[in-house]
Amino acid sequence: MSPLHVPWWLPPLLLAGLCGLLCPLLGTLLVLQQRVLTTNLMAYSVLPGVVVARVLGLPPLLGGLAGSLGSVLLAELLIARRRVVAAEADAVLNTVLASSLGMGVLLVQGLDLPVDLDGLLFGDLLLSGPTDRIGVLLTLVLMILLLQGQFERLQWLGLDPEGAEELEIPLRGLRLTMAALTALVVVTATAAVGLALVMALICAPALFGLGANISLARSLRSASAVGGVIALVSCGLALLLDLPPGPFMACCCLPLLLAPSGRG
Amino acid sequence: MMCVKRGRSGHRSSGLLMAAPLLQAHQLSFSYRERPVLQGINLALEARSCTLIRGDNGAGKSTLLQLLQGRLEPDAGWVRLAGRPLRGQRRRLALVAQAPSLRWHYPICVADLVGLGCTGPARRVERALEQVGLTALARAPISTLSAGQRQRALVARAVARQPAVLLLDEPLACLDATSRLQLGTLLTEQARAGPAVVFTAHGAIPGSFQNLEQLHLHRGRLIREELR
Repeated sequence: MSPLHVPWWLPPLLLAGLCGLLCPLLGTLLVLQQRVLTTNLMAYSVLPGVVVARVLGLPPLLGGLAGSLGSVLLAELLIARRRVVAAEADAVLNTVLASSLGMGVLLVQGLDLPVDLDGLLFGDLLLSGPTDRIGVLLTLVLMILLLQGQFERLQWLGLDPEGAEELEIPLRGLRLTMAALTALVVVTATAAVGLALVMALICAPALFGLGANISLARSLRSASAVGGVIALVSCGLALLLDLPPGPFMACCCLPLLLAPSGRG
Repeated sequence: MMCVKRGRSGHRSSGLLMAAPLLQAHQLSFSYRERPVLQGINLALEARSCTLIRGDNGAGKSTLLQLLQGRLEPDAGWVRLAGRPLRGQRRRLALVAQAPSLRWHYPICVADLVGLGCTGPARRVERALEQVGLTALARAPISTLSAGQRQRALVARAVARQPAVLLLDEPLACLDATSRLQLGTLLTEQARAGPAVVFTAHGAIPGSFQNLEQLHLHRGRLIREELR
């Protein structure tokens, strides 16, 4: 055996571990900014984006990003047009989410495209390639750079956006950056856990990390560490038991919600 | 209508006649959709003054404070700080809102909340916490605070920034008798130290508030009350 030989199980495990570190970092910020439902919408809107990209001969990553961001833009426009309150906005988001998924499925079946629908929805680590790993790694680096460079503004965005406005701290650019990064995380992590299940890896470790409730930095570290462990262990077990890793990972996230919350 | 006010030095000043009061509102009007709330409000606040604005529920007290801070744009009229428009200097005005948008489940301790946006030395945060009686809770997560403690934390946050004008919307709500007295002393001290302090209230005001100017907001207009 060549010393450079990489065991077949290592690349998928590496990808799962990277996703496990990355998704909870984003999730912690999104939970605090109350943007989880929007992210769910972005995840499901990857599908029509990928399908349209396939039809146009564009890279799926580009299509996924366009689908994610386009759906959020559409939802925001509908919310603004109808002048709905926050609770009704959730209804609009959910409707756009279902429509995006429906449109994606209709496009796949109507155009009879060779799209691996199961792989997109539930992930297929074994089919992932170096591009997927590099994509997740680069997104993780971008996320760390954002956290390093904009930590105080991220705190304002999650804690007190109106207070930031009072101090004339501009948050618009950061909001746009967050939207773009969210789309990137969702699209790149889809290879590991699938767009239907990525939310579990985004949310559950984040909630676990926020349980201690002391500081954002500590919550981010805890969430990312727990996400990494969950992803590695569940992926390893799934490979061992010959089960699909994405659904296995999502199920392993559920017990995290039983962890005690430090909130008073 | 013009509201004429007197600073602590007894110097008589007018919103329209004086060159540049610290904070000046001129002919402010504001409506929610078609319902007028404030009409032709004139106000001139000097440094080292403490002003109480009273009014019934829905009289427009909170709206007036938000207009003074620049959070809301008036339908007509203007607000100036030191003779200049608010844009670019809103950070010199601190508003402690009655129902702040702050997310209390956020993972941050009291001292860090008070220090966020405070560019001065750390000692300033410690001092502000001392002044509102929250030193013992400095490292506590904000999610564990009671309603009264939250109110005090918000006051500390505003005070730590050392604003030119300190605006407080119903700061006495949720506070127990001791905290109300403490707040009265704190705001009086603040007014002595330099900023103009403006606050709204419904009920009785503790005796610890001194040199208080009182205004009454009624049917969208500001009326001066008896000086204490």
